[in-house]
This record gives sequence, structure tokens and C-alpha cells, in this order.
Amino acid sequence: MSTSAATRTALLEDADYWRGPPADVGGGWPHKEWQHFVIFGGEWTILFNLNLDGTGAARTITILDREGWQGHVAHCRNPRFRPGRLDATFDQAGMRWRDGRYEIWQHGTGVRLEGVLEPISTPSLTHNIHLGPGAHLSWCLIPRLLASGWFEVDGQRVPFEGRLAYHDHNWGRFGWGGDFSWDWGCAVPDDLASPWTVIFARMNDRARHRTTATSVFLMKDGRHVRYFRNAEVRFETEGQMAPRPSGRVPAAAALLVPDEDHDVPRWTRFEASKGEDTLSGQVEARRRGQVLIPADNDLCRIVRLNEVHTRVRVEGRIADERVHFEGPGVLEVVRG
Amino acid sequence: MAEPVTDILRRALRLVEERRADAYAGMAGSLDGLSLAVSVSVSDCLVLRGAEGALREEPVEGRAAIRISTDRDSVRALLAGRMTLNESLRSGAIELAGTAEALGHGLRAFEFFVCALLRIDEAEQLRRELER
Repeated sequence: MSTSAATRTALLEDADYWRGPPADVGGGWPHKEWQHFVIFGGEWTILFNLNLDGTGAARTITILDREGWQGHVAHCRNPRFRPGRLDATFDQAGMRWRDGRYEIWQHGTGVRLEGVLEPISTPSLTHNIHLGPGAHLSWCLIPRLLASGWFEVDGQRVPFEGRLAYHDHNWGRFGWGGDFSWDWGCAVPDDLASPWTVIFARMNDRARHRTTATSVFLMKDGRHVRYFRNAEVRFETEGQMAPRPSGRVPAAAALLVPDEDHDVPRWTRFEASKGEDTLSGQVEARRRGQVLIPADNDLCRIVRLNEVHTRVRVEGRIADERVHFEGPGVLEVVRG
Repeated sequence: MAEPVTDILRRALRLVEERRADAYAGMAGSLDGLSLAVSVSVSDCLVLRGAEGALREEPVEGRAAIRISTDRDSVRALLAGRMTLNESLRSGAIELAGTAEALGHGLRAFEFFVCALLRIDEAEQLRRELER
């Protein structure tokens, strides 16, 4: 292991461990936490999410986009993890940290999966992202990994090797359905040799009358080279995606939402600048699925997490170096 | 032999009553004074009535205020996301009858029912049993 890899491993072990519910639970919003992985396969994209929902129970969300989204939400009554460690088992799914790499698996219903993900970027931490009154979220970001493994759907196994992947970990106190919404996305280049990765986010109140925070992260060779935030970043959108998602999970929750909606714009664009540095992105939404989550504060409300396969083009100039890449991305649009 | 759909529905109602008192009260309140008949086949029927904050099963006789008629495959298609509720109604896979006011109350009760089941882990097992 090279020195840089050893350093990266140490940083990651210090940053990405499961927090778990705080000892002083107090009142207010419940503790929520999830570990999220995205693997970009070219013809397909997989999202895998181990999720503590604040009630002591947990869920595993595994969804695949391959000309349309499909997947499954598995409930787990007794998630096994230790605060301070990265390993976790949620019934037939889980994650393990071994030799500086993540191992993930999902052997239950729906899309089955095994993968080994090697971080090739340094982690970064952002704390206390505001999600409405008394609610906040922390964010550990490992934006670039190399993934190998397989997934299996309808009995057909698809192996993959050396694919770019993204990982993050969120935890905090908030309730689904609270006074927030977000548009979050990441993108990687088609060309594995291209060093760039970009992550962007816009946090709003639930009605989207007010933007509470914006951010764009640019990574080169796994290192953060520029972070734009708030007044340095401007977002705009254009058009609308087809009003019907290609897949919804859990399917039964779709009984409670309209067949069609206009949650996701066809185009999302961002412009970021700080001093002489500029960066712009054009995000074309191509296919979307929805993960439907019951609101914590309203029995009959469902929150829609739109997961969108995107095509992204990024241009800019940072420290006199031209930035340019095109590639696949994922956009997550939370509404409801 | 597969368990009748209405038996699974009875178990789901018990789960909601035991685990989600708020949703159960919402269902009973929505159906207060109304009868609801679910018919999946000649021998697979259920009639409920909302009264005094509870849902009570009644004998299958007479004409209920809200009448739902469907079959097992249509329920499975709905729960698997292969058809939406609107599509099921338009295609006749699920037939609804009653006055507009009664159907409005029935829809509200249905929303409470589904919202409760989404929050109860054991409900997933019931869904799997419907797939058999």
C-alpha cells in the first residue's frame, strides 16, 4: 500500500464510521443515518443504501437503472452495527471495511449484489447542514472509488470490474417531510483516465420558495481542488422530464402518490465562480425512478426521492487549468 | 392452496389495529356509519362497517354503501406496481360502486390503511403471501 493510500485509509476510518443514535436522544427529530453507494456501469447504474430510519429499525434500498429503474426496499428490524466502526449487517445485506476497501452485498429480494469498492479519493466532512427548524444533517463524502463485483436481476448475473463509483454517508436529526427539499447530484467522466469528479447540491425549504444552501465540489485525481458555496453558485432549470417515473419502490407506496408529477426538470444547470475560477455544469435528466418514503410528521404523506440517471457536461477553468469532461451522473431530487 | 385475499386483508386490518392506532382510528372514522364490501370471488368476500371508533365485520348480505370487486391477480399487479390504481379502475380490474360521497370516505379509509401498512415491517410478509 502506498503512503497516500495508507493516509487515505486512516482519514476514511476516522470519518466514515457509523455514528448511531446519540445516547441523549432528547426530544425533537429522530436520528437518521445512511451509507450510500452509487456504481456507474456505463449501460447501467446501481444505487445501494443501508439506512437507519430513526425508529431502531432499518431498511436496505437497492435499485438498478438499466433502461428503466427497478429494485426493492427491504426492511430490517434488527440492524447490526457498532458506532465507531464501518461494518454493518442489515439482514441479508451489509457492508464491511477490509484492507482499505469497502465490501458491500445484498443477497435478499430484488437486485442481488456483491461489490468491492476501493476509494481513490480523500474523504471530506460537512457538518450541520440545515434542514429546517431543529433539523440538521452531516455529510461524509468519498466521491471516487473503483468498483468490481457483480449484480444479478431476474436470475441473470452481470459481472463488472474497474467501474467508477461514488460513496457518501449522512447522519443527523431530521424527519422526512420536514421543511426541506434538495437537489443533489454527482458525475464522473466517461474516460477513466480523466481525473475529474463533480458533486453539486442545492438545499431548499419544502415549498422551494427559499434556497438555504448551494455547493459544488470539484475533485481532481481524488483530491478536492475547489469548493464553491452559496453566493458563489447559481442554479437554474429548464423543461420537465416525462411525468411518469420508470419505476417506483416500494410499489405499494405508489398507491398514495399521483401517477404523474413534474418533480424533475429536463435540464439542471449550475454556474460557479470564485475569483478567477469558474465552473459550469449541464445536467440532462434521462431516466428516473422514485423511492417513496412515508413522512415522519404526517401519517398520510409520502416523500418522493427521485433518482435520476443523467448525462453531465462540465466546463471551467480552475487555477488556470482547463476543466472539461462529459459522463454519466445521478441526480437526486427530493420532493413532497 | 393460497390463502384467500380477504383472509390476508383481515390479518392486515388486525396489524393496523394493533400497531397503528392513529391510522386505525382514521379508517374507522372515515367509514363511520358506512358498510364496505370487498369481493374477490364468490367465496372470498368481506364486509366491514365503521361504528363507534372501530371496524366490525358483518355478514355478507344486502348491498354495502361502498362495493369493491376485483380478483387476486389484479391485487397482485397493483401491489407489484405493474398497474396503478387509476389504471386498475379504468380497465375494470378493480370495480368500485357507491355514491360519490361514500366513495370519498372509502378512499380516505384506504389511504389510512396503506399508510399504516407502509410503516409496519410485518406487512411485507403479507404482501409476499399474496404473491403465492
